[in-house]
Amino acid sequence: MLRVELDIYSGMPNPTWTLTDPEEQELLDRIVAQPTLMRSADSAPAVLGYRGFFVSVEKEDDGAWTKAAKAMAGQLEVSDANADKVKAAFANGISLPTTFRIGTLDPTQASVVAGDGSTDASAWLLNTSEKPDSSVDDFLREVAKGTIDLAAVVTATALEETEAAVSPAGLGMTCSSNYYTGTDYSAWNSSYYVTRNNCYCFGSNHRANIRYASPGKRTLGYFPGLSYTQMRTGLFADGWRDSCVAARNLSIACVVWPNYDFHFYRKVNSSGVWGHKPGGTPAKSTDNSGRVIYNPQTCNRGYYTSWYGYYYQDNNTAYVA
Amino acid sequence: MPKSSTQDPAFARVELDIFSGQPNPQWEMSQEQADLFHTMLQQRSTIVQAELFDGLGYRGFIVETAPAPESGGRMIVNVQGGIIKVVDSTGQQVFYYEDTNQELEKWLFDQSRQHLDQALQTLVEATFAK
Repeated sequence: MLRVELDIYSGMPNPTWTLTDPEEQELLDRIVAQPTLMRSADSAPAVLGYRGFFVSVEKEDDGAWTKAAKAMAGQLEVSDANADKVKAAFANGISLPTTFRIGTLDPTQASVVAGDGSTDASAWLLNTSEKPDSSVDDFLREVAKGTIDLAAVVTATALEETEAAVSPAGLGMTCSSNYYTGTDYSAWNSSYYVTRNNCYCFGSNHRANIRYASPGKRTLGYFPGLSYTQMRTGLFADGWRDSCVAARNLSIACVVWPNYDFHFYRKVNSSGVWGHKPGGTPAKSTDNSGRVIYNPQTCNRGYYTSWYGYYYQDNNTAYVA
Repeated sequence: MPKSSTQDPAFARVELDIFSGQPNPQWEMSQEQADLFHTMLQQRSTIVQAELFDGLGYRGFIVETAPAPESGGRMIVNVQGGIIKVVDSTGQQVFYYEDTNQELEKWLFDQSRQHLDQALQTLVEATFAK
């Protein structure tokens, strides 16, 4: 008998429910078909809100899961067709644990694998919570479902963007720079400037006092848009290049929250630290996990999942509007 | 809290602080909403300085209020994760309050729905389920 826990609360106990026999069988079938759906029990993501499902064997019984697990451990004396099938499918050594995690992760987590089928499994498992012994109410279901749906949209869009792009631009940290502003961001973070300049101002090292500066606005007169091609159009118009053809003074990285927003990072010292300024908040060197950024491509970028590459400028400042 | 008025603030503009480069969703409260906002704000309890999330993604709501000039002027109010930060018109005085059960934040979120698409609503809503 399997018990499912909707991992969603921080302080209060998470709501739980028990799977019926047919549901237990379906969960087993889904995992047999795709073992990567299971994650270790201690892989809880450090985020607030919906964090997937925690599944545990509540009681060893004649259910499909227990039978299959026993068969795999060589403990089942009587042959069972279903258990044998699972055993054969997992011949490569995967076991059926007594506790594990499953379910779509919030798209802010780097471990989301686009197209891994976890959103479908998550939606199905969430639906099994609609039963009398469940403490999941409609509100919680809506919240969890919303995050699952959002993850599906974000990962699908990310795939689309990646496929559309010829290749992410730039050579990244292999380009040399000879001008750094350092990790003292006080020039950006005083009360006057902090709310008047955005990530593009910071990336361009230009305190333009334009809260919504964007690529292309100064040189083209408009912001071309958020697609890979449009962003590059705006950046190139503003003087950015994606290859090392000279000693580069400014190096930036461009990322996009598909369909919603762009964001920039700038290399700020010779040790390889990158800084950024999320909107009207203070500039800093740490990512959404609080870690110092040495690689903007792999740091925690929240919903800014599309990587548009590195760009360079042969000036200490790239003027923006 | 900086000197302010519960009477007839000239306006209160709200910003859902969520984007980095692009403009955040913004709207203006009605006079009635602005009055209620001030009333709710003045009912909060003071707390010691608190840290607000300042990374990428949802960062709460920013309310800019401009009460009648004789009552103290402009204030910038950040409402995020159970914390309210109020900065006076000079930018020099900062006050912190507790937003019990994120009541004020949820009230602002309800107002924001008509300005947001479903995905953004869901994203913000998910932060309340903690």
